[in-house]
Amino acid sequence: MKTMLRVLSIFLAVGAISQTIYSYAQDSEPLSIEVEEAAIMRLIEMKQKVDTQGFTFEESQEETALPQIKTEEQFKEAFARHALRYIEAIGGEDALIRVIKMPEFTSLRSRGEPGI
Amino acid sequence: MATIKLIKQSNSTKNIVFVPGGPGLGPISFLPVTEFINNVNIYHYYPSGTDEQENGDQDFSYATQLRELKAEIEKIKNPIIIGHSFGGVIATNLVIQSPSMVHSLICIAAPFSSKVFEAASDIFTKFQNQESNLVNERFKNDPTNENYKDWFSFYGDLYFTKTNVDFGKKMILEDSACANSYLAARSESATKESLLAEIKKVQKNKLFILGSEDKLLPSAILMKEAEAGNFKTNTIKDAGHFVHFDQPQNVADVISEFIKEMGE
Repeated sequence: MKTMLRVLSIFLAVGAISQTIYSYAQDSEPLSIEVEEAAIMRLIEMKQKVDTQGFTFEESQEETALPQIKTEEQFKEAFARHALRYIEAIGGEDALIRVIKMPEFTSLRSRGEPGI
Repeated sequence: MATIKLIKQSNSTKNIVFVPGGPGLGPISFLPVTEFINNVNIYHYYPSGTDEQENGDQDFSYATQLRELKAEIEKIKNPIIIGHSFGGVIATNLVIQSPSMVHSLICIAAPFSSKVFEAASDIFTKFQNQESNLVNERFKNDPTNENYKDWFSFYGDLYFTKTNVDFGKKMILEDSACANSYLAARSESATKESLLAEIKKVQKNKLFILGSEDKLLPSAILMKEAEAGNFKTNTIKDAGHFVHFDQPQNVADVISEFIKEMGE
């Protein structure tokens, strides 16, 4: 559980810049904690199958409501997307923005911020 | 403290102030275009921490930078403000706050929307390799002004046209940049999309200059932003993100024509 939470928090941080949240919020469907929770759990199980049992993403995917995931990048994007939706669903946007501004996440913030 | 310096004097009553981007770059990139503009007093704005100023415990937040810009612009009578990139964002913010202080506004390749920042971020990320990781790490672990300039100039291919990139990199390295300014204000600068709707309502002459070869900020997005802010637009051929440095004479001609059209 601890490892899972750690993995979860890393992916949350990667996907979490404030602009993403706000722009995504404008496009998204109504949020449901249960739906996002289930989606995140399914994605974690899928990743475990890929990492520990040698499945490909396609092979590890059961009949689910999730869009087809074929690559590692698609997996990361789906995970970040559902994690952000989960945070939104629990009303955690402000907390997320505070966390992402913490010094330990400087590399994530500056990674995509060229001088302008 | 931020300062403003008279770089070129004329008998005219017209004043221009060039505001650099970065955040935290000095105005060195405006020197070539300054040479080609005549019959107007030309000032360069040095944000806090640039111009070899001490910048230990100073506050470099966006709000402070905006306040300091306002304090310096107040010293110049009815200026035309010309801001490049981040300088254009903060200049636009100033014009919205204090329209009576300025004559008109020119933005050069200034990004406002989340869309253009996302595009820039994607382009920047695609540019990453082993060598860039080392430069990034060096700046991250030791954010000195020198490392900031090294980091910025390393990405010169994104900022300048192919034929001018070596001069551009050299120019950045010779600048009087301030790393703390970048670190404190860069993130917030990407949250100013609402300025476009606000500047649209401001009844001032506004011009947006962009480069046809801007590899950092896609010109198609910039053009839409300029239109959203009700700016007149002018695309300079064979110019990258530092439009005024790649094509100083052409940019000077566009600025001079803009001033001429406005009359008194």
